[in-house]
Amino acid sequence: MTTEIRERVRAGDPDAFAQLFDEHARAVYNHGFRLTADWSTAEEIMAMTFLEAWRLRGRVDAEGGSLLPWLLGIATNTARNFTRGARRRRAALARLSPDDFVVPDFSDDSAGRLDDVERLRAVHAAMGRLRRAEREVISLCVWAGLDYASAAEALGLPVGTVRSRLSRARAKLQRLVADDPGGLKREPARRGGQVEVRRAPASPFDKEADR
Amino acid sequence: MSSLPPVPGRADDSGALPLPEVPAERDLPPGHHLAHRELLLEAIRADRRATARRRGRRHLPRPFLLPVAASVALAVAVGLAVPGADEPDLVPATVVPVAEGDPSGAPALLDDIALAAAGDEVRVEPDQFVYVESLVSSLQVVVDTDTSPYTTQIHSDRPRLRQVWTSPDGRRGLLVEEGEEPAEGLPLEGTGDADLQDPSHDFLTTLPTDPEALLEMVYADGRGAGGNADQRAFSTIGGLLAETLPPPDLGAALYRAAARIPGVVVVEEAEDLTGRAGVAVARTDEASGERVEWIFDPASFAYLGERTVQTRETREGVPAGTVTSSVAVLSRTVVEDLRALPDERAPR
Repeated sequence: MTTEIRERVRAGDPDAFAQLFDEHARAVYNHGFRLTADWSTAEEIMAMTFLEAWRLRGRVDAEGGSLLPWLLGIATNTARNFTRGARRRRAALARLSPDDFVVPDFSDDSAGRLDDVERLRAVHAAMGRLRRAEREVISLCVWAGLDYASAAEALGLPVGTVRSRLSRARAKLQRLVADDPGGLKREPARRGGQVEVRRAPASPFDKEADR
Repeated sequence: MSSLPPVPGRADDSGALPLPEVPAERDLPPGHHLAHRELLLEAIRADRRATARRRGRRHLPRPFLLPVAASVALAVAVGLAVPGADEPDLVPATVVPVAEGDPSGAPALLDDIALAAAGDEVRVEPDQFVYVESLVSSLQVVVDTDTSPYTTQIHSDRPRLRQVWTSPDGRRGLLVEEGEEPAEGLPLEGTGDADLQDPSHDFLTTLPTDPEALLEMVYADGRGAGGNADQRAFSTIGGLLAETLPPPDLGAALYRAAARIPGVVVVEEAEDLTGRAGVAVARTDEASGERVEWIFDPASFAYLGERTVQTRETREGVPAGTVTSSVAVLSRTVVEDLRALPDERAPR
């Protein structure tokens, strides 16, 4: 089934793009938000990602699984354009102005969105120590839930590079947020059916083991 | 609300420690999904019509304007700026010949390096800062949409200066990296905790200087974390040597510990990001084909930096010999304050 949508996307079938949009717009939107901590930018990134996906359709492999990793890779590239000052000013960037939409005022929703922004900015501050490449890998592997191979596909990187970047990044990040007063540190949700593997309490320095 | 629950079998299921939670996913604001969907389809239809008209012409004019979608007054210039050859922040990736590593030479070389590392003690007072200045670059793969058909280009970040100041207890610090926001630097406010993956200077001074004990601790730290234990140990030691000012006895012990890790080889020809020629101590992750190389001056055995080389072509088309990341250490020393530079470059 996934192979079939790949073929239709490659062939430039508009209905396939409509289907792709319906299935993945939300995930791309949220990925864009997690990369930028800005809902409007996230919406622009989402729109540009699908336009770019249309342009890049010929590059899709006929065989393979979900096209979400591919879309998230495009979104990641697009987000870089927004997060670097010089590129932000590029006239060539597609511009969508979300202000042009008539947005019903759901105040609960607006307040929630503002909370999300603050929360994510705190996470980003904690992640500031990481390099951009490491942040992208965290975003794809941890927050968007891609496996290593899919994240590698999204970024066009070797799988080993993704793995090593993630491992280095999470080790750094772990400690940076450990005492964050904003409640970033939580016990992980129990994973259905999964035995949680923890590092052995190996040394007095291995504080993670006590968590 | 919690973020997306981890899904079994995915990358984050590797015995992962908790990470900061991100907000739960949200829908687009009401009405926006359909509006964007309509815009997308309108853009696709416009492109198909334009392509049909211009049969035989190679390139689409860029940008072209999208017709206004019913009831949504939006003009969208389609013509995405995708980093390409003209991208000032990117340079072509470095590809080097993949020289065979020599396993037999590693212990002797690491012994020389350890002897060179065991110099005078550098004392860091509580109110001083460890300052490390390096040049850094990572691989970036970009798709160039200006070509027809589209091409994938293997780039690296243009090497950029990275400066880090950290107090010995790890509680205060500053990171300034070219091209990263904020330009004036990012304050680093640590918790005062430290571990093998993110060591403060004070933490380093508490580590054993017996290579065997150190090695045991390094392996224990990686236990349960997945991947190849030897590679992980090598990588952990590499992390303790990078962007730190290890006490001399510890530096020596770390090198002697690394000499005991299976699979560690000598690579005779390695070059750091500034072009300095060196000799490398390296280990290849067989799973990925990535070789992590610690580069040393061939005469003084001083640490020059670290780079990672892809030793075999990847499925994604990254060729063998591609340098996937590189760090050259330019300066590491003790300074009196945040933003202070080593003496020879202080403002007069």
